[in-house]
Amino acid sequence: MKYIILLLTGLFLGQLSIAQESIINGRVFDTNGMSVDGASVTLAGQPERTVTTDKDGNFAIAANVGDKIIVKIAYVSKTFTLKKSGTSYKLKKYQGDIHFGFQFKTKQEHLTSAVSTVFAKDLERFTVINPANALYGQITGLTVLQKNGPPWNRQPSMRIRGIGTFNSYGYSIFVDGFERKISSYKLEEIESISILKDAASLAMFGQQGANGILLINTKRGEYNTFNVDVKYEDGFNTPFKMPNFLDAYNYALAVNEASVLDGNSPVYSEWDLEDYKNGSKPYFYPNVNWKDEVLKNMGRNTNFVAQFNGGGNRVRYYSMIGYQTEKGLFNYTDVDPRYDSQLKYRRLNLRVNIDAKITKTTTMKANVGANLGERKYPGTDIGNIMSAVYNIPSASFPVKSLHGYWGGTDYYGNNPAAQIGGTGYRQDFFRDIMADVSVKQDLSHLIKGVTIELAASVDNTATFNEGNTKTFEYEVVNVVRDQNTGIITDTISKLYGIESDLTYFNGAIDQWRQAALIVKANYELKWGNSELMSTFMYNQSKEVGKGQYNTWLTQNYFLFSRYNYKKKYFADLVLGASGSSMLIDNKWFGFFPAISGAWIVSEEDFLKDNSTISFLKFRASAGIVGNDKMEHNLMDQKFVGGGSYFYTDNFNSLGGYRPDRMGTKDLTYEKSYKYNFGLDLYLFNKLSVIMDAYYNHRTDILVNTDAVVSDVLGVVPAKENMGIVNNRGIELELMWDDCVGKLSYYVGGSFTYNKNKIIEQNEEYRPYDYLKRTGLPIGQYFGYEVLGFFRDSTDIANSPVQMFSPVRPGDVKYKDQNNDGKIDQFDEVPIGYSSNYPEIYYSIKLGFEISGFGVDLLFQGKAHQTLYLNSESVFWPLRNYKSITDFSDNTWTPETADEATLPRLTLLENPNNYRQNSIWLKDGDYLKLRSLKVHYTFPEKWIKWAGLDETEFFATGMNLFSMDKIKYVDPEFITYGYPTLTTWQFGVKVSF
Amino acid sequence: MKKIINITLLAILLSFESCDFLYYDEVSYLTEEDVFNEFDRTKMFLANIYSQMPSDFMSIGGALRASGTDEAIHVDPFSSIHTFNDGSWSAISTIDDRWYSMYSGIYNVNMFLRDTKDQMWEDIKWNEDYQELMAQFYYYPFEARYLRAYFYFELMKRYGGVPIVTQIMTPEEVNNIERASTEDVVNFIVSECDTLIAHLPVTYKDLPQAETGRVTKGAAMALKARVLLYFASPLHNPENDIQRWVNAAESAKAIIDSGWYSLEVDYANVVNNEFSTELIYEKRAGESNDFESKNFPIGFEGGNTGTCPTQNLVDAYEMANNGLPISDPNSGYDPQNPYAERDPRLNKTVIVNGSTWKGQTMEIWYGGANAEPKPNATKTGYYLKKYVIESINLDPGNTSKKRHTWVYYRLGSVLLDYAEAMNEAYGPEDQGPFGMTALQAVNMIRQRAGMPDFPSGLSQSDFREKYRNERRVELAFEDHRFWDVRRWKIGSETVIKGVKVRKISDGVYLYKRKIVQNRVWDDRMNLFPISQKELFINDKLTQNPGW
Repeated sequence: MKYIILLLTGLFLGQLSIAQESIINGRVFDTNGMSVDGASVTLAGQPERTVTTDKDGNFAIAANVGDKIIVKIAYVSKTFTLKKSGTSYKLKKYQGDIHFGFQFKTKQEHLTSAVSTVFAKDLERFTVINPANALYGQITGLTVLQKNGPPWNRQPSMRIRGIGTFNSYGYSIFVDGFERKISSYKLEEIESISILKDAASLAMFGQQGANGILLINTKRGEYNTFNVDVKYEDGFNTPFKMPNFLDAYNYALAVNEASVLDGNSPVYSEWDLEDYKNGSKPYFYPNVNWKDEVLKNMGRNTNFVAQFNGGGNRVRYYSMIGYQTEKGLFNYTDVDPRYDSQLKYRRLNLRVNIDAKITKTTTMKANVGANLGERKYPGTDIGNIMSAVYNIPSASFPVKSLHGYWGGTDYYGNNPAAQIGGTGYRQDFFRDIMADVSVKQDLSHLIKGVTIELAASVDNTATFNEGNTKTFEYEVVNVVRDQNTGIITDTISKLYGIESDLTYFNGAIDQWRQAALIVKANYELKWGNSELMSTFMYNQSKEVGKGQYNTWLTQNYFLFSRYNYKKKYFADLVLGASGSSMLIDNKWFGFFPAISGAWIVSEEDFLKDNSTISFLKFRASAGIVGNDKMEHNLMDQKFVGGGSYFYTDNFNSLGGYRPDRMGTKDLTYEKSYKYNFGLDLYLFNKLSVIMDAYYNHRTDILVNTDAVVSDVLGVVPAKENMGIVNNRGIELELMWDDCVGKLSYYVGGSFTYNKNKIIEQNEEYRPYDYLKRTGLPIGQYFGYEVLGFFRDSTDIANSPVQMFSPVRPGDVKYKDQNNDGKIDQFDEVPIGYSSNYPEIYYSIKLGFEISGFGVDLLFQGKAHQTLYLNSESVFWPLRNYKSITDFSDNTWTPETADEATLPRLTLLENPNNYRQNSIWLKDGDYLKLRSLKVHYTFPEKWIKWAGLDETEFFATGMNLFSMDKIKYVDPEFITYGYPTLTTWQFGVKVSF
Repeated sequence: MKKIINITLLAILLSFESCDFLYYDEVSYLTEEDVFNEFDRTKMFLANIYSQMPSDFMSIGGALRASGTDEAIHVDPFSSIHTFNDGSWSAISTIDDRWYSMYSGIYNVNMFLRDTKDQMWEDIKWNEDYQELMAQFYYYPFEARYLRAYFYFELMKRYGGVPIVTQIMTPEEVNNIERASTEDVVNFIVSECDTLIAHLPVTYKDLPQAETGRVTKGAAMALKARVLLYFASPLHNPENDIQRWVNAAESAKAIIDSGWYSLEVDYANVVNNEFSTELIYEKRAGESNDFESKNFPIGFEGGNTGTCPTQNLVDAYEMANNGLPISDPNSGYDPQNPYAERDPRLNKTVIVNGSTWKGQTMEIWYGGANAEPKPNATKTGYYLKKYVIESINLDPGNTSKKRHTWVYYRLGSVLLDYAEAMNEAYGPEDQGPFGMTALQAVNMIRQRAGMPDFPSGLSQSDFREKYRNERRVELAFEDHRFWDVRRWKIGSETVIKGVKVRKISDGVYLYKRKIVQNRVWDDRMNLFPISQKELFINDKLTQNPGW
């Protein structure tokens, strides 16, 4: 309608003005590829000749081709030369609508709350299977830490604004308005991902909101376009960083050293060492680098996506089909002709999103997505295979024995090559369907300003598995050597295990369903310079997972009002009642209010046309949000199996029942009192700055009360809502965006600092103040302060007794914190930082583009998180016949006593050395190059003849390097398992 | 029109709001009602309380409480049992703290009594064996009360007076509760026992299902006698009120007179023998070999040494032919053939060098198969025999398990209790009103052991000294010494000795005593400290003296 008016206006103006002027239309979009709604388009020098873009970014202006136009929205403006009708104009930087749940959205400049968003353009720096892995350093306030694992199991650990509770700090993810799983989605179908951080944006989520919310919106059809994007890429992955295991000879030397330092005689004789060294008897004195033997240098990835986007006046559509594969790193996958046990992941994603105008007053949206696929892996659990790779020493046994069986020893029957190739295969098949529909009815013809909306969703996901597994036979060869001559007199061979037939199995391993409903009644009113929008909303949802205690029901009633005066002063109010089935019957509901306001200072006269400050806004919010994540049925005292007794003479025992923890009588949800203050600033037309500071005060956290209730009670007392945690932090987001001649470039980044403090947790009695956890951050590491290593027996005799295990020279010597002459549990002190979140998380983004050639870089780092280096073989070598790596190069020996940084080698458990202490607690700080993208877009004229709009070649690299203090392995993956990967992708993207 | 729309809107909203949408009840456990409305489950609830009765097998850091006394030391240097001995025992570093576990038993009994009161068991009313089950059920509340009384005795042994809780309390109530006096606790246990003696059966053999593991009249009588003996002892009876000894003697005598129990012929059969005629009450345990794998000597498959009996204990065994202590120059003790002609109970309690174990001759000499310098070999030169079942096999692939029975009271221990009380009340050879003298009671034990009688004509204090040695020997490793040294206020011996054996030639050894441990003793250790944590929570609790 607007468009027609514009057109008419244009025609009319055209008539009046210079004859050759005509109506030229165009479309404005931003760097995220999104249509810009409400931008003003002004003919240079003629401010009265201004038109506004509609919600699809379209405008029509009466002008001549070649005229200068100024396009301006919020704080972004740019001058273009007007080209022929149908041309699109790209604004440098503008973020369009910000969603904040339940299908509410607003323009970013009108936002009063703290919401951070990343758009498709930035997400596509990555090629990933799980979109969560494209979020490193991308959203200010969201800490994303990488996890290792097979392709389908790399869900990174994510926290919104640190941690505010010592119970569950999990948060919910909403996709297109409904609670869903991020891993069901394909990165390319996602338009934007936001996190909601403050009370104003979270209060509407009631008892689900206190830990923050992650919102995802899928792409939608754009008006008056017809666009087909096809992308194909191919690439490879390699392990990011794995430890170097010692070869057989050096392993044997280390074992001998350890044995001697333990006070025993060497394990390997000179002849053994010689045979390991020269490798002449590989079946008896093998030297197998299991890492190189079992893992290939590279696996392979492919990714294909076709996206269709377009529509007209009545119906718009977005549709996608995507197919993605990843192939794993294993060798020995095809030793059995009946199957291939390589790690394989394949999936197909489909999506159709429709926007339809059914009548003049009725619009409807229907979204359907599907995620179908399979994953295949060896019959043995991948974790077990990788544990074998890490833990089996290189001197243990050959891959295949002299007689062609799998190798093994009496202790190690888990030959990793045999586990990959000789135990069959397993396959999982998953299918996720996500569907939702919404209808919006405008009732303005009945009551002016009233609309009602109805939305519903049904999701269903299921994973089945099947496979054929078997066991394998392996040979153990023991060598008998003459103790005097060293001559091998005999070899004793034994066969273990059974080469079994393949056994078929199948079953259902997971299922999840979700159904939700949203009803909204909106009322909009404008008077004078004021605008008021009010919504009453009701929603309910039901989620059911597989197994017991996996059902969650929620029900919310909310009133949401937004008011603004002259689009300069904004005030929002949320009042709501939110209920959760986790609470006591009929005490399900809690009250959740929030208020927020914003003041756009740059709209005031004194700043209106300031050339330095083009935009300045202050934001503030306060309110209460809840968290209902807790154990089910805490209100009941459970009676569980207890001790049995033998009453009869024939000693048949009778089982017993005992009462468990008492029920919580006044069970309630956690309450987070959230306060946020923010500042949005745009300077020199180049630099955008977003700053936030927050303070969250969480109360009613469930805590055990055994530390505050006398044992005379005789039963474990109830958990009570008594815990308190304060969490505070600051966030800063900067982006400098500029052009120099043909070169456009940007540099920016984000920085977050979160720190929490336990105020109350009913801490157990601690005899010394330095042992208290209260007052420190959640997850603060405690350990023993290392003074050095015991030099000799005199040193041991003159030192406090260490109560963990007998000590010998070279063992770790601890500080006696309470000077009571012994080292025990009262000598622990806080060391380093928290185990479960970094206080500092930051990212740096930079890139440039010139003549179609561009480079984009994304660095991400963290600091103030402590790691406990406790992986066997990797950091704690040799114990329990485990392996050793070159990490242990600098262990204590009598000769190196002064330079040693690690305690002596030992073959024993040695709980004295291997416990939390300042040797094993290390800073986990790192700065990683998460993404590097190089791309080249062909000049339009080269491809025009083929009917192509755009052709881009690109190469993407992910997780390329890390600067850190661990150096030795990936600081985000210090234990063992399927490794973290470096990935390279090469592809082409064509638009029609 | 507006109205219609409004009503329609309201109707739409209301139709989605069903008031019980959030009602969700998923339960996989039983509630209190579920348990106590069903006879079988209630019976099982009681079984759990029975299982809470403490026994001393590996009860503290894998050790017997004996290793906290001069009876033994425990071989594992990191066992928490050493806290008793090394001076690090305190209200912060508590050991054998039964505050929670005993009150947990008490809570369960209180709940049991509350919830079974006047129960008629509708769920089994129409069963054929209803009468039979009700006949069994008649005893359940009394059994439960017995167990509660026993839990209080365990608390009283450690702490003296403790809060008496006879019904379920709230956290607020227990956080403000005060300790009762030792006398109140004793009176409570005794008065409970008096009721139980009137109601509990002598045996369950003749009752339906013959559940003989349950507490009996005899068990209640024995508990009463034991509590009264403790209450008469110097620790709790500083004024030496003779009437208390008389009371203890009287209640012990009632058991002796009942005729329900008789002494085993062989001392070796008094433990791990659930069918013994000497047993008054015991804790039964299923088949296992945990205790053996802990305590078998080094040099035997699966052996880990565990308890090392001390030279101090071994020296307490007298010479068999004359009943003289080895320190007596006339005893005939040969330091280089130290185990010859000794009290026969020595060889039934301790494994000594040259004795036979599992068909092998023990080599507990330096360099021998069962001795140092083997890692983890005995520190004292002795291994534990009592309670260790020799026939258990720990060879991998051929392991065997057997039942263990922990003795609370046997006629032997009651006779000793009686002798002690009689000597203190009337002297060694005065039978008072009870028709048996202290000397007669002790001599029954001596005769069974194959030892000469105590001589006649001993003074009260000489008798006391000899009696205490006899009690130490007869009840070794039965968890008496730990408490006896406390209630007598004589302190545990602090210089712990062992023996170093050198082999000269086959059958010829050189024995040399050695000090293996110097311990710390303080008189405050006669009672346990109450955990600082409890005092921190409840400021009305008072700490025991000296802690």
